Amino acid sequence: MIEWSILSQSFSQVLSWGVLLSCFAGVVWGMFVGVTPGLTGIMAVVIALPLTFFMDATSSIALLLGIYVTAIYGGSVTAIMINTPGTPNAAATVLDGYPLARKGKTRQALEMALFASLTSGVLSTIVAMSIFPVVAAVALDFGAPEVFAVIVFSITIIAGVSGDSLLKGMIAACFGFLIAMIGQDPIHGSSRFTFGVPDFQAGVHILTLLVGLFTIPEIISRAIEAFRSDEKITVGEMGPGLTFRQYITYWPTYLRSTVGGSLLGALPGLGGSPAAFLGYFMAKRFSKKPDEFGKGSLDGVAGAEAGNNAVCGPALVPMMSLGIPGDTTTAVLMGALIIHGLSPGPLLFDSAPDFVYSVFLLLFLSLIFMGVVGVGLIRMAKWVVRMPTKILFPIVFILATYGTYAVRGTMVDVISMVGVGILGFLMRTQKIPAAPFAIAFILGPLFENELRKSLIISGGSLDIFVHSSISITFLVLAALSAGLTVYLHRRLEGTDAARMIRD
Amino acid sequence: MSDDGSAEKISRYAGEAMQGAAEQGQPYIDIDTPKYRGDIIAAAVCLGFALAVYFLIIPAHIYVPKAFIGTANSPAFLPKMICIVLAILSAIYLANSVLSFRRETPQGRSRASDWGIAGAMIGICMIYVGGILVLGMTIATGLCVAGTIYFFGERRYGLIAGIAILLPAILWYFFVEVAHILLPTPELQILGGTAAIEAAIAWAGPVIQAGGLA
Repeated sequence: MIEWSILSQSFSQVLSWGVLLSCFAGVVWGMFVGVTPGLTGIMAVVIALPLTFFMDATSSIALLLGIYVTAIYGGSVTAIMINTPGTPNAAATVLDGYPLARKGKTRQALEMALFASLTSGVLSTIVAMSIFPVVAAVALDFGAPEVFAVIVFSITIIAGVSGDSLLKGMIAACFGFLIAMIGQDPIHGSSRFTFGVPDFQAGVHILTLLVGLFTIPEIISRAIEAFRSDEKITVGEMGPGLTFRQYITYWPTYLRSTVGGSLLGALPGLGGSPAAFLGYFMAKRFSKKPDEFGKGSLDGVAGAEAGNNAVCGPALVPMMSLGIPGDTTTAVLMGALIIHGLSPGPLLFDSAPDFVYSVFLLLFLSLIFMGVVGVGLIRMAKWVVRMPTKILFPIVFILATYGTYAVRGTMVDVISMVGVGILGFLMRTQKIPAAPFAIAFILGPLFENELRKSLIISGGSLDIFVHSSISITFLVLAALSAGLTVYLHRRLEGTDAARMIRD
Repeated sequence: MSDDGSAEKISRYAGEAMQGAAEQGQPYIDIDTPKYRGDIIAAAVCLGFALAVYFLIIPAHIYVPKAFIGTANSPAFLPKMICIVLAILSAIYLANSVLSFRRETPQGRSRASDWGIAGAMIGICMIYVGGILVLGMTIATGLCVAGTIYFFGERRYGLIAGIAILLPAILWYFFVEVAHILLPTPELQILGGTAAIEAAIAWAGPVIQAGGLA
C-alpha cells in the first residue's frame, strides 16, 4: 500500500521551482516533438538527456517524464490534422481523427484526444502507484540469480520491438551486447575492445549510442524525403470544441482503454501502439454505433488516445521495481536513472522510496501541464503543424552533437556518434531494427554482471539459476513472453494494424 | 504472367512499394525497403564481423587472467558467446536471403539519387566532425548548420545566415558561460586527432599479430 509519510516528503521534493520548471520544459518540448512528424518520443528524450547532467535526479526525471508523457499525446495532433501520426503511438488515432477533421470537427477531435489522454493517464498512474509497493516488497527477496532471471525476462522485450523480423532484431541485439562490452570488464577490470583509446576505458556512453542510432538515421531519411517531395500542408476548418456532455459520454471507453493499456504497459516490449489499437478495437466492440468507426467517431479517438497514454504509469512499475524497461523509451529513462547514480531494480524502493513516489507525483504533474499546454496548442495547431522541417532537422543534428560532446567533453564520443549513426542508417535500409540494439546495449552490462556474480557464487555451476522458485518463474515467464510476442506478431502479420504500427 | 499474378508473388516485406513499381513500370523502391541483394550483403557482413571479432579481435584486445582462461568467469567468455550466437543467426539470415533472392520475383532497386543524398548527408556529418577538429566547434557549427539547411532545400539566405550566427552563439553561451563546458578549439583537437591516429596504429598491430598476418 501507499506509504503516506514518504509520499508527503516526496511532495516537498516535487514542489520546488527547479523541478516544476524542468517538468514544464519537458512537457513543452515533448509537445513540440510530438506534433513534428519524424521526431519521435525517444529522439526527444535522447536530445534532452545531456541537459539532465547539470540537474539533480528529481529535476532530471521531471524533464524526461514530461517529454515521455506528452510526446505520446502530441503525436495525435498531426494524426488528426494532416493524417500523419506525429509518433507511432498515434497510428490508431488517424483512423477516426482524420475523418473527423475532414468533417470540419478538428477541434473536437483534438480536445477529445487531449482529455482522453489526460483521463487515462491519471487513472493508470493511480493504479501504478498503488501496486508499486507490493511489487517492490516481493522484489526485495531477490539475489543475484533471481535478478539475472529478471534480466533474462526483460531481454525478451527484444522480441517485442523487433518489428517484422525477429531474426534481424536478435542480430541487432547481438551488436548492442558487443558494443556494451567496450570498456572495463565489470568483474576483473581488464580492458575489452578499447583498442588503446583511453576514452573507451569507460565504455561507449549511452547517449552517444542513442543519438547515433535514433537521430542521425532519421535526419538522413528526412533529407531524402525533402528532396523527393515539397508538399504544402493544408489544414481544414477547426470547427466547434468538445462539450462537457460529450466528454462524459465516453467514460466507459476511457476505463476500458485504461485497463487494457495498463496491462500492456506493464508487460515488456509492447508499448503504446498496441495499447492504442487495443483501446480502439475495444471501443468499437462495445460501441452502440460501430458503423461510425473509421468514418469519424469520437469514441474511436477516445479509445485510441486513452489506450496509448494508459501505458506510461504502469510501464514505470517493472522498470523501477525490477529493472525491466517496458519499451525503448523507458529503457532510456532507466539509463538516465543509472547516470544519476540510482539503480532501478529491487533495491530502489528500499534505498530511495521518496524518489520513487516523486516519480509518480511527477507523472501527475506532467499530465496537469500537458492539459494546460495542450489546450494552448490546440488554439495554435493550424500554425504548429506547418513547422519547417528543413530548418528543424539540421538544428536537431547540431543539438545532438553538442549534447554528445558535453557528456564527457571528448571528440571520441562525437566521432563514435557519427559512426553509430552511419551504421544505424545502413541498418534502416535493410529494416534491421534499432530498438533491440539499444535495449541490448542498456541491459547488456546488467546481464553480464548478474550472470558472472551468480557463477562466482555457485563456483561456475549453472544450477544456481534453477534453485529458487523466483528465478524459475521468471525464466519460464521469459520463455512465455518471447513465445507470446512471436505468436502475436504472426497473428497480426499482414493486417492493417500491423502495417500502421510498422510504418 | 498477369499483373495480379506477379503481385501475389511479391514478398511480404517488399510490400506495396514493389507493387506500385510493378504497376507503374518503374523498378524503383524506397531506400528503406529491404532488398534481397542488400540482405545478402548485410548477412555476409554480420557473419564476417562475428568471425573477425571471435578469431581476431577478442584474442588481441581482451586480456584474460590465467586463472580464468576457459571458464565462464573469463572476461572473454560472454563476448565469445555473443559472437557464436551472432554467427549462427547471421548464417541463417544469409541462407534465408539467398533462398529468397533465388525464389522470389526480382525486386526493384533504390534510386541512385537517394543513395547520393544519403551519402551527401553522411559526408556533411564527417566534414562537420573534421571541421570541429580544424576550426573549432563554434565556427564549424555555423558553417555546418548553414550548409545543411541549404542542402535541405531552404533558399531564404537571410534566414540561413541568421540561424548560422545565432545558433552557435547561443550554444556557445550556454555551454561555456552557463554550463562551464570547454568546447573544442582547433589547437586542442588537432592534438586529439593525433591521439586518434596513434590509437589506430596501436589497435592494428595486435590484430595483425593475432591473425597471424605479421
